[in-house]
Amino acid sequence: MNNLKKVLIVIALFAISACTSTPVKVDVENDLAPTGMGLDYRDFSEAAEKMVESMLISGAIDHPDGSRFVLAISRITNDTMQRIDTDQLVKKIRVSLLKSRKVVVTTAVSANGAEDKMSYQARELRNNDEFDQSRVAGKGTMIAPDFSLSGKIIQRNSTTHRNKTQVDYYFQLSLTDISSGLAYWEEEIPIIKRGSSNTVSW
Amino acid sequence: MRTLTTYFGLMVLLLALMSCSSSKQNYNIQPSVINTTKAVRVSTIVEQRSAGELLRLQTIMLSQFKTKVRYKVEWFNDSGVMLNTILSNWKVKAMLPKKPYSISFIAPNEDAVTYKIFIEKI
Repeated sequence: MNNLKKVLIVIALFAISACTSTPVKVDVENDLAPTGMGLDYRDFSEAAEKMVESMLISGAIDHPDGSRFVLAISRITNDTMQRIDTDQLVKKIRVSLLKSRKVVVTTAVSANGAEDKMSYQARELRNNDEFDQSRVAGKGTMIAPDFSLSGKIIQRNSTTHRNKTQVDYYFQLSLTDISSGLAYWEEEIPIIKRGSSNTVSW
Repeated sequence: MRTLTTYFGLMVLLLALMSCSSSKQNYNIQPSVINTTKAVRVSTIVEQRSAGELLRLQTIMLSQFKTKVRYKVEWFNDSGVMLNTILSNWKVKAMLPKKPYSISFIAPNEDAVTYKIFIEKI
């Protein structure tokens, strides 16, 4: 009997190990898996897409002479309970705006200092005899931004009917004309999730 | 002999026609709606494009039954090459019976000259 128990335990262990699933790579363009209560890549993609659509439709980034506006990225605040890198939203918007050929983003100026410090570091090569000075960036060549993009991601939790949890996420962005300080475009995209109170959104 | 000559002539003609037809492939993509759901009807696509502006599309979906669909648009340039953009992501819509839903799209840039709209049940 003891031997039988041991054999059954070994068989059960093998069966459990065989049931563990191996990791699979998700097809991000056709992901129909259920969502969670937190923000995932699909939510950022949806919010970014709607923001870009709204901006293109508004005409705010249509330059009168057909050239491109220069955009600086200002503060995008994360007011949620999750650890979010707001670049998950902003980078998608930047890529789409660049592809539209209506906007180009400056990496020399942003709310957190230069995104790419090399613009300034390369200028320290001036008067360095090791470098061909005709190839070093000259004074007064950087382009100042025309617009700045700022915003906030907000989260609000509430309890609904039958003790379900509802989490409201609001993606808010504004496009400000730096010269006048006026917001020429603004948008708010809500993403609302409702689920069991047993799940968490952080 | 005459029959043999006739057959030979026909064969030469056939070969000549085949070579002419395969000399250049046509990558021209026509605007289209690929709707795989039988319950959902799509109205005529309204296009808008002013000079120097982006192509905009609008249409109306109507379902006889309560259903859930997803839809997207793929944009193509004048060479038939698809433009990669997040504006081509799938969008989901829960539809009530006999309630019209307006859907609209905007092109990612001025290169987009034609499109395909996909609608499917999920």
